[in-house]
Amino acid sequence: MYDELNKLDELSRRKFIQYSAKALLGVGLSASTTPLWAGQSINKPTARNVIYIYLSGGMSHIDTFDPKARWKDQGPVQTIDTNIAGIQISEYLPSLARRMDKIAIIRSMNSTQGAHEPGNYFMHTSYAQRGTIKHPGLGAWLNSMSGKTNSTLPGNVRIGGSNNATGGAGFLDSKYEPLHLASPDDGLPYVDRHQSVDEAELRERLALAQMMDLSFHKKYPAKQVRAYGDVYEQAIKLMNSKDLAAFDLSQEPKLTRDVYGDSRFGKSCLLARRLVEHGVRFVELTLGGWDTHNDNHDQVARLTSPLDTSVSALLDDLHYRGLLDETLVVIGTEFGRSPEINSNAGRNHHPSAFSCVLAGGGIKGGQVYGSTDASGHSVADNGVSVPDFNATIAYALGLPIDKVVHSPSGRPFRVADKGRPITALF
Amino acid sequence: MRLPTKILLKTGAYLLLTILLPTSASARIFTNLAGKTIEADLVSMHRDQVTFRRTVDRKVVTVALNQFSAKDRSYILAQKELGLLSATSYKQTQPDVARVAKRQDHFGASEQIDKFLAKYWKVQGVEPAPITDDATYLRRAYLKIIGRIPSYAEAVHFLNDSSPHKRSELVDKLLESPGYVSHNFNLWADILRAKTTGREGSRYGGVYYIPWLKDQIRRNVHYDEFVQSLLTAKGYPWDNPAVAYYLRDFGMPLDNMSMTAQVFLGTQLQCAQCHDHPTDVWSQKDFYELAAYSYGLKTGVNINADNPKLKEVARRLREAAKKQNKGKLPGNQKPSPVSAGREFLDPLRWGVVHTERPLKLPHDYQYDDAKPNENVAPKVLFGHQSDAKLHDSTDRVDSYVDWLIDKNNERFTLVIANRMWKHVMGKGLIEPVDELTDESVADAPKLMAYLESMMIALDYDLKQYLRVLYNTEYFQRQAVIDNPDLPDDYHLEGPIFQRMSSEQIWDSIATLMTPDIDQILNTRYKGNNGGIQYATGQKPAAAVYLDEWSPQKITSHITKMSDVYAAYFTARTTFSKANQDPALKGTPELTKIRKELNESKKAWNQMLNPDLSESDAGASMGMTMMAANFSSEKGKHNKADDRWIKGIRRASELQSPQSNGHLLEVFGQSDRMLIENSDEKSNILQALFLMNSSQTNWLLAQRSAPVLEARLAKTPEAKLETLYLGFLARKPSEAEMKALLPYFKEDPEKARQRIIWAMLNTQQFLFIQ
Repeated sequence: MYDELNKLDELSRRKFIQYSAKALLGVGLSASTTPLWAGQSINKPTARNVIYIYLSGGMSHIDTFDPKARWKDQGPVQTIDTNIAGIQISEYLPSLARRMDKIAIIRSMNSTQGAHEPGNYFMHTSYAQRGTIKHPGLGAWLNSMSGKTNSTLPGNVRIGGSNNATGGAGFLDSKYEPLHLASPDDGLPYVDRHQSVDEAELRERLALAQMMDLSFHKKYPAKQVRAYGDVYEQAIKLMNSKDLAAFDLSQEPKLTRDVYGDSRFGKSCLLARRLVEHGVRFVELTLGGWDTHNDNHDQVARLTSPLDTSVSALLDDLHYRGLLDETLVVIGTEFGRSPEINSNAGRNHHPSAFSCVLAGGGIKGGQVYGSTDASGHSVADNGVSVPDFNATIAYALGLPIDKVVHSPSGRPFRVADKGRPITALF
Repeated sequence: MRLPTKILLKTGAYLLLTILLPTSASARIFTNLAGKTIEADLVSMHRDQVTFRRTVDRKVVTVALNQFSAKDRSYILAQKELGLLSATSYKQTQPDVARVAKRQDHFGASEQIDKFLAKYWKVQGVEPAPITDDATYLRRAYLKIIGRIPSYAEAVHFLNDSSPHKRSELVDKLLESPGYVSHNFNLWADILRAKTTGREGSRYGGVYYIPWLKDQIRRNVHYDEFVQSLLTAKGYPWDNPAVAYYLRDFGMPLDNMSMTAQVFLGTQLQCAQCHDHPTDVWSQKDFYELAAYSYGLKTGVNINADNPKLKEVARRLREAAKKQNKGKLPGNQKPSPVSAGREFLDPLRWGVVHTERPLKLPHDYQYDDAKPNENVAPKVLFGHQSDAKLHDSTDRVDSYVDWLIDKNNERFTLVIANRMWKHVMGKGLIEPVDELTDESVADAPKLMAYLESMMIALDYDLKQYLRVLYNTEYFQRQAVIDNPDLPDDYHLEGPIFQRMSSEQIWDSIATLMTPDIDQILNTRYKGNNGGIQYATGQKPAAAVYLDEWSPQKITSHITKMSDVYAAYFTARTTFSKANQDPALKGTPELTKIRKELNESKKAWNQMLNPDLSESDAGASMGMTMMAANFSSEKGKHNKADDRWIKGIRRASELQSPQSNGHLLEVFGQSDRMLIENSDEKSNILQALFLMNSSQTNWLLAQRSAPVLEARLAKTPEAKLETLYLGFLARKPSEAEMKALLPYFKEDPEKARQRIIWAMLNTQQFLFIQ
């Protein structure tokens, strides 16, 4: 209790009264005693790989995976049956509806972050954004705790989205930083030696650069400088990798490419499958544009089209190649959207209830976990917090959820903070 | 199409001015063999190719020496003999230092800062880092002040200069250079999330905003005035580019307010938008009370209601549509004068207007101090609340802006003083710069207080403030590692050791190819939204007509347009259906339908964007690099390489931000979606580029400026020194000379390629010492 009282002393006198009440009610109180789960051992992993599809902007849940047919503001979108009795989703996702037997929908997601940047950060790292430290994302945690399966390809790849995204290596070693591919078509840029340079010449040049840098390295033995050394090593391994073909989409038969669709997202899904096949353990794809403050239904209808087509193709493909059991497919987003329609025919941010999806990787398909009330406003039962969601992914991968890892500055962190995995999903 | 007289007059006036304005001091009239004359400045000369810059349009041209008249030829050769005409330009790219005002005034302040730091070090029990040598200072000054490495010629000039005041003279010169604008633009574009791409670039005014921002920096508009322009802006972006500040967060006025508080007051209110802030003192009500000042400003003009002229036009268009459709109003989706009008008048929706709409607390407001849906009365976050009567939205905005930029607003001054310190030294005295709380304490509180008082005394003149900082001894000390994992180990012993930003890396490579890169400016950005073209200096047609035509005229014009629109609309629907029909896939019929669509689209676009443009006299881009003009060079000429060289611009002159996959993005440029979102992390793609690109393997080894200079050097030692000065801004060490000279003598061509590749792949190239 004294810890909490000290915290109060730091706050400004102006808000003393408000805050003392809140602190006593539990805000700021952390479970400082030994957690009940301290003795839990590592679960046997059901998934080796993760394909994480991140929908940035906040996907409207009642227009997709959690429709509310009798709600006044449901709008023009209809509800359809799926191939599992009792589960219905939005008509915008017909192909996924036919594959519901592979999918688990979590309708009771809830977050405390209602703005994009903090919401995105929270979803990727399970921690609230702070100016003082960068937390690692799941891909970095996976590679750091459980290692790579392919020694020459990166263990963590991100396709699409901004280069400055959250959920990178954070305070973990920079070698866990995801390789960011701006577009799935182009393959890896600059991956071949220049035509005028052979293997021997490249080695000579690298040696010369090292020599030129000798006194510089001695003078400035900084973490960022060493990180460049690491990155050159990884780059050279990659250049010499026999698995570089994984990045070349043109090696896929046309039929396959057509099934995934011609969209950038479709190609990203196909690339993700190829990478996983070649041993890349964590691939994140970004599909943006979900921040539908204006013209919600028009935009969602448009956005769900590649989502529906390509994710269905991906699930089928993984299944027929025997990869679905060991590959966890995740569809995540930072928050949902308001059940009310605003004056621009749009929906606003809504973190208190939203939907996410899990498939493969040991997840029992054909189920819905948790539910929301009749309008989609709040969680009705089995709420799943963002850390819980990430803990579930970590659990599937067999990562030690309770292990405390210290950042270089000595602060303690866990893979999914205090999240608990939803074992009912498996 | 008849050009409106206003535009004709403007063009005429501009042409007149360019003829009458005094030209550059060293410009001269040159004559060619055919007798044609031209007024120009000499830029450089390489072998027999003379490069000069035309005064009339600032265009750079290269012509063989034998094309000039005999008199000109001897003049040019004499200039070269005197050493005033180098192979890579120096003199003509440098601003006139004599014009710099009152250099001496600020020295007292710089010394004062050093004194505060000396006291701080004593208390902390640390020794400061030593003062750097000239070579290190040279590179750092260029990178920190104008955002690029020095060119070979600039490096030689500085290192050979024996003036005792050369460092402060360099500071003055760099602050006046166009490079200063380019470098500071990157900073402010990151902070303000200014974009030229997408919706933000077109309908939300980016194409007008970015040149305006650069202009504000160029004219060194005082910071408080600058903030005031941004926050009191209203109207359309082509009339008032500052309006893009509000349009950037179209439809999200509360988000915009929270960005304003973060950027200008260093106060993070985002959490308080939805509930009482969990870790800071702000309540949700506090946030709403502040937002109530500017909530009346609406982004988005309701064409049918807000503007009486447009309201009239809308009414008439409805009449015209009914007439065409047997007395009934056609549906929204059908082509008609109404829908054509909607497309054509679209730009007029994106503007900022004052309204009297009240700000209400949200319906789920959960605290006891007020009721949900209650109107919120405006109240400032802290400090002095003016009790002047606020009659309308304009009053409210003015009142809140006055409070924000007031000298007594402790956070306003603190944030900018700290931010500029960070810009110069690499780390703020308080970090993070935009997340102040009541517990925020500067590392050196007396110094911070002094900086704040200096900012006020300088009346928020940012350039002068920067000048003071660049002239401190502290800025000249060796860089110090600040380990982000061990933040308590840094005691301000010196400026921070950091990697170049992605713009600095890109701009440095650009400088290696083109020493006068600072002169190559993009003054005209273009964007497109819904078929309407937006371009710098150009109003959309709808805006021009709104100003100049009567409602009847506008209506009859749009009604005429609606036939073209109907044709386009039909073609679009036909194509969309046909494209989805699997039976038609790849057939010539589909191709024919697509062709029809493209033609009707073209016709419709021409109606949307009639040619009202002013003459291009003002909007030229400076032209190509010298290197690309040397057709006499031996070696392969790859088309892609040539195009790359031709298109090189500084990052500030490219689209903001650059697209995915561009080198700027690979090296960590901010996506300008979030505030100051750039990073300096290493990644594999950077290493792959540096190792395997044609730039580092070929282009820079064959056609960069230092290489051209090195070819003129007489001895291998001199050549090596030239390369080092050009790429690393320093002379090679004894050990390096010893190791590299043998190669050079053995196979100079191969050695040169190897050495340059190696220099570009060192870490010392990427980091700022």
